[in-house]
Amino acid sequence: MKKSKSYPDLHERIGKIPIPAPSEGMDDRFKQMVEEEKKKILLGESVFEKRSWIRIVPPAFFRIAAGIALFLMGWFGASWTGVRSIDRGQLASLSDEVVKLRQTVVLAMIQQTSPVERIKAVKLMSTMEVADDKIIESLLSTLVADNNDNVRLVALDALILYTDRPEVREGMIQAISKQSSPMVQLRMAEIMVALQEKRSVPEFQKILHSVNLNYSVRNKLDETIRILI
Amino acid sequence: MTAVIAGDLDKLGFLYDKYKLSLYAYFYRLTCGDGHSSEDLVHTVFYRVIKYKDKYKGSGTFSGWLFTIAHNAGMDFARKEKNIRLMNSNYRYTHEDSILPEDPENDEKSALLFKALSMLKPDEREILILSKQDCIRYKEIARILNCRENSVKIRVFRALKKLKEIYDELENS
Repeated sequence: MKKSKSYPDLHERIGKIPIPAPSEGMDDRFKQMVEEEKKKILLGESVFEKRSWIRIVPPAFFRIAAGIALFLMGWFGASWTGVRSIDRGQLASLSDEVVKLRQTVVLAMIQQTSPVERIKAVKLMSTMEVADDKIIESLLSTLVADNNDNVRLVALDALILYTDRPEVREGMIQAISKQSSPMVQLRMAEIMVALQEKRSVPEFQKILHSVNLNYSVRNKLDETIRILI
Repeated sequence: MTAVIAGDLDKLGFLYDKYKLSLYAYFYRLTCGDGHSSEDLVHTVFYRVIKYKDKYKGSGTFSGWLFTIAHNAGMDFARKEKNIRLMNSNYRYTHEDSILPEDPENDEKSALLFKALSMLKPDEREILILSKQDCIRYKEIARILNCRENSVKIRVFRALKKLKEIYDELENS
C-alpha cells in the first residue's frame, strides 16, 4: 500500500497546487465597479445611504411627529367607528399639512445659531421627498452665505440631489466664486466635473485669480478647467 | 488603505493588484475549482472593502482584515449554494495560464490532492487553505475564524490528518 510522505509534506503541497489564472474580464469588471462606486460617492449616494433619520432628527421633531401620528390615529379611529367620515380630499390636505409642518420645522432650524443644528436642518431638508422652492432657496442661500464651512459643505451635498432642476445648477455655479474654504472649493470642482457643467469654468477662473489660493486647490481647479473645456 | 478610507478609490487598484491572485486562489480552492464564482467572490470582497472601509481600524494587518471579509463572503456563498458545488471538485488544470510556476511532475499529484481537499468538510478545507496563504499567520487566522491560536493549530492538524487519509485512499484506489 502506497502512503504519502508526511503531514508537513502534504500541508506544503496545498499551497503549491497550480491554479489557472482568472479571466481577463475580472480586472475590467473591477475597474467598472470602482468607477460606479466613485460616481455614487461623488453624487452623494453613499453619503445619503448612511443617513439615518434616528441619528439626525432632533427630539423636538420626534415630539411633533408623535403628536401628528396621534392626531391621525384619532382621526382614523373616529372615521372607522362612524363618528365622522373622511374623504380622500381631506386626507390629501392633511398630508399636505404634515409636509408643510416639516418644512416649517426645518426652515426654523436652519436659522439656529448653532452650526450643528443647521447641519441637522440641511440633512433633514435632503431627506424630503419633494423639496419646494422655499427649501431649495434656503439651501442655496446657506451655500452662499452661511459662515460655517461644514454647513456650506453639507448644503452643497444636499443640493446634488436636485441638480436636475436648472435653477439649482445655476445657483450652484453662481456660488462657486463666493467660496473661500478650500474644502468647499474642492468639492465644488468634483461636482462640476461629475455634472460636466462647462458654465462653471469662468467661476473657477475667478477663484484662480486669488493671490492666497491654496496650492492643492489651484492644482485641482486647473485640472477641473482642463477637463471641462 | 488610508487613502481609500479618505475616499480616494483610485488607490484601491493597488490593493486589488496586490491581493487579487491570493484571493482568487483562496476562493478557487475553497469552491473546488469554480473559477467563475471565484472571480465573483473576489469582486464581492473588494465591493465590501469599499462598503466597510470606515470599519478598518488598522489594528491588525490589512491582509488579515481582507481575508476576514473573504471568509465571510465564502461563508455567504456556501450558504447560498447550500454546499452543492463545494462538494464536487471541478478542478481542471492546464499549464496554459497558471498563476503559479509550471511543475509538470506534480500535476497528477496536485490533481489528486485537490480532489482530496474537495472531499473535506468546507470548514476543514478552509482552515487548511488559510494556513497556506503566504500573507496570513495563525494569529490572524484565529482572528478571522474567531477562535484561539492554539485551536487553529489543533484544527489544522486534524484537517491535515483527515486529508492524508483521503489522499492515501485515493492514491491506492
